[in-house]
Amino acid sequence: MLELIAEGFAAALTPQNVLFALIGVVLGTVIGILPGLGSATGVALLLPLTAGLSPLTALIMLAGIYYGSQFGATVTAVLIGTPGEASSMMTALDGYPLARQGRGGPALAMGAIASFGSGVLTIPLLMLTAPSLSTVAMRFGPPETFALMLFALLSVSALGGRNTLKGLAMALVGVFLATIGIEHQTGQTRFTAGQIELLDGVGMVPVIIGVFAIAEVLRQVSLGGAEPIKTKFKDMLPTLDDWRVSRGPIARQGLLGFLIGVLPGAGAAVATFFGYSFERRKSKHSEEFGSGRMEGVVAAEAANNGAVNGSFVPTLTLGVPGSATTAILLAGFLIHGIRPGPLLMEQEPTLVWGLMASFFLGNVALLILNFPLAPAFASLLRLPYSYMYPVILLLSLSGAYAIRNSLFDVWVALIAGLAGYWMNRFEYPAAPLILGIILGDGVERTLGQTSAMGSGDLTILIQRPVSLTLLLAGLGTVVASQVWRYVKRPTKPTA
Amino acid sequence: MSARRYPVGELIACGLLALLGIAILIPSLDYGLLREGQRTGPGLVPFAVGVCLLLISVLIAGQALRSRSEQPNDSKPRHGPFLRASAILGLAGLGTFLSPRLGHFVGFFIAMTLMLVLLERKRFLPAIAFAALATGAAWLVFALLLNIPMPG
Repeated sequence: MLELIAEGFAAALTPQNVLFALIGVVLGTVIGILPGLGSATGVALLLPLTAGLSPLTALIMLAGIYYGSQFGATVTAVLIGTPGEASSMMTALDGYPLARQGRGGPALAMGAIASFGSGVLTIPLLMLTAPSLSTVAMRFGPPETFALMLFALLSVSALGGRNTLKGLAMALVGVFLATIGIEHQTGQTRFTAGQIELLDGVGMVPVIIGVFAIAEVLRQVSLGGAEPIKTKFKDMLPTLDDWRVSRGPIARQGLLGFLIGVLPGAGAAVATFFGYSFERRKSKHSEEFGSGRMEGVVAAEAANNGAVNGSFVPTLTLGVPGSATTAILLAGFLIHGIRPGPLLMEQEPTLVWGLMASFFLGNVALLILNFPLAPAFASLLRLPYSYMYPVILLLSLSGAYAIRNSLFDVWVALIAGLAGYWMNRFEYPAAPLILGIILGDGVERTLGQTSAMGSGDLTILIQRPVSLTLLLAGLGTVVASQVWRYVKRPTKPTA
Repeated sequence: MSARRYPVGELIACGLLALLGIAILIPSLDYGLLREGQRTGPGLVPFAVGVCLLLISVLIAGQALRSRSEQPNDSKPRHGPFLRASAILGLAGLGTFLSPRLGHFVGFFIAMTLMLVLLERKRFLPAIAFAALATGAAWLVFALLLNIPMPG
């Protein structure tokens, strides 16, 4: 195997491939910075640029675009509190408060390092375990996937805010939004109120843009407008303390993210939710999460990159994409005459190992380009907010339109912005809402499949050990969070 | 003088959640909870969501009533911030409304200029210059580089 890995690096590390990896990272970062245009859209938009390149060079450039767009989404999540895509949402929770405290530079730099560290850790895992992990992942049937999604919803609702009930309510609203449109199994239209635009469902990205970007603009403006950051350039570099607190979360969440990414349907967003919740629970300063802890940023970024690498396991070995972006990458593979699947590793070993080596190259290129640029990006916050928010609105609403070329989505973003403003005011957390939208479809689909497996009998969920464990863990998390809040509630002073 | 004040806003939010729950629950019954062979139907998940939302809204209302804050009864609600936020949302809506009529970037150029002049009290010419620069940059990226067919 070592020979194959060496062969892969030799194929990937040509001057031409390195150049295209760098170009891919730059283009991907530019696309990722635009709110709404996440990595999936970025890869789709830039896919035609790879036409005419040799298969390996094209795949290397695509990998660069992918990693670049992931980091671009981090930049907007940290600087303006607008996650470019769902997997950057947890980064925004602590990254944005850090940026408002004048620590946007360190947050971005540590985010880039977390991505790189996680990549260094998980790419060898991808190389070594891809064939064996893919068979394990395929044993994860509908009952287990349903239980995993329910566990994710319950744990994020319980741990994502100050009030478990409000978190659960938001997750339910998210699941409801996911049910709008045509139901896949029966073709039944639901909750469309005769609107043709709703047949495809409510777009997730416009809702994200609304409840994060627009709601944040409204909140800041109603508070009188955020003060411009006056931090010196040298203070925008990470401190030794930032490094110290970040090492553990990078290693832990890189690995956890990888394992979650391997599971078909789970995706990077779920991995970042789990990673963030895990570090928050583990931390001695858990109450400070959400108000600017560096561990929150690095946990989310490491989990994200780990999951991205994990999602390549089913993509490469089974031809089953683990996420929307890997589905588009899969299309890219097919354009260049490569058909991923069990035989790919045997038939095209140089290409597969070269591609895996190129993931490493993409991570290095990302770090080289973006680590020095982090303070420069963060300097954007020196602009007065009265000039910044109209630009944020323009870019956010243009992004909401661009995702499906639909003006309806722009109105959805505006309505979601108003809803997000009120949610913020009454402390209803946004993260469970988004997770509900992401997982709602999967929850319903896997529940239907589980029901079919058991001929209508859902007790199959508690007859299989993995699904039973996940369901109990989800319920346990909700109960434990309620008990913990009861124990920690402030006691009334005695007279 | 101070008295325990009812969390009116919280209760309205709970009421809206409960209404949403009912609005989900009723049509979901028409969609069918189960299909042939007792398999899950298209209405089952929305029905469960509606029921849970209704229950949770009652529980949150109960929580809100139990934790009524000690606040003076004579404290007046501040409408200024909300009006300002509404004005911004209204101008963003204006930009969206004008988008298919005048073109996306022209519509948002007008909305941005109005935000800067009316809400931020910037002088007219610098406001126009800044709005033109920002919308021009957005046009360059979205329309020219990415070739996205923007409305209008």
